[in-house]
Amino acid sequence: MARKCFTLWDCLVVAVLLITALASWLLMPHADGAMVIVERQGRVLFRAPLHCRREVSLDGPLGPTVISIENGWVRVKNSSCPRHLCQHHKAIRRSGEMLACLPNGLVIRVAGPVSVPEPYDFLSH
Amino acid sequence: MISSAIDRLRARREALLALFSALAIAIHAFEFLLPSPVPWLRPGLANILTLCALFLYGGRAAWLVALTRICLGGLLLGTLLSPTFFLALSGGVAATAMMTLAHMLAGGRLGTVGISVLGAAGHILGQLLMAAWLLRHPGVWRLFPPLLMLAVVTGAFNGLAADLLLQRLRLRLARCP
Repeated sequence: MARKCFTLWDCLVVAVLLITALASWLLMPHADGAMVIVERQGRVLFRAPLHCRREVSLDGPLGPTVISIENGWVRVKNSSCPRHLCQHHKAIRRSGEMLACLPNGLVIRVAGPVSVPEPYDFLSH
Repeated sequence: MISSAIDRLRARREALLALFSALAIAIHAFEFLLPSPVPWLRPGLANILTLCALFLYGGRAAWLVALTRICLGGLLLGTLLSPTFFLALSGGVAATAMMTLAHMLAGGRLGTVGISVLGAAGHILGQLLMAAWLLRHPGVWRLFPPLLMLAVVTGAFNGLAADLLLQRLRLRLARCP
């Protein structure tokens, strides 16, 4: 009996499915973020909409970290950490993207649009 | 003489399908115990038995093994009628539909790997449809591309395993008609 485990048709099916996966990955719209959330150890320190221009200084264990929100992009403008890795990282804007300053214990992330409108414009602790 | 031979074949078919179902349930339960980063990310090894039933005895046998595994597996794991069960059911039904259809349409041209990969793709499609309906959140579809990639890998692996098992089974069955 002929071995019929991996025929030409099987290759074709596998290839088509892989191409479908890749194509759907590339074509899937990446949602723009709506909110900037800054956390330290899971606690929200700061929260603001992405579309408002704003600069905020947040204090960490090593000193202040300045975050700037501009034209829908967030970046770390200045930080008191030793190597300034967070400062050199490119700005972020898409939902799910993150900037972290580990020495100063800050995680800056962009969240997608919330379906329920929040009762406040921004929140700062 | 002829009727007794047919009886013997039928008895063998029933015994084999019962064995396939029992093995599929055991693998299903075993996979449930495996640690996994996400509860529904599994290799789907139980599908190997559905594939064997499909290639040995056709579509009806595949449906029998798949549905028996999902329902009895759910009963055994205590997930019967829970969201987990419905995810497994929708995935299993979509996968089996895909596999039987592909087997019917392609005839002998598609081997176990092709059918298995199509079944795995059908499985995630069924699961995501059910998940999208249960959660009512469009974000579910973001999982589609990475899951499809994984499905192709696990599907190909299951197809190869099913092929090995089928070769051995066919040898055995040919030796004692």
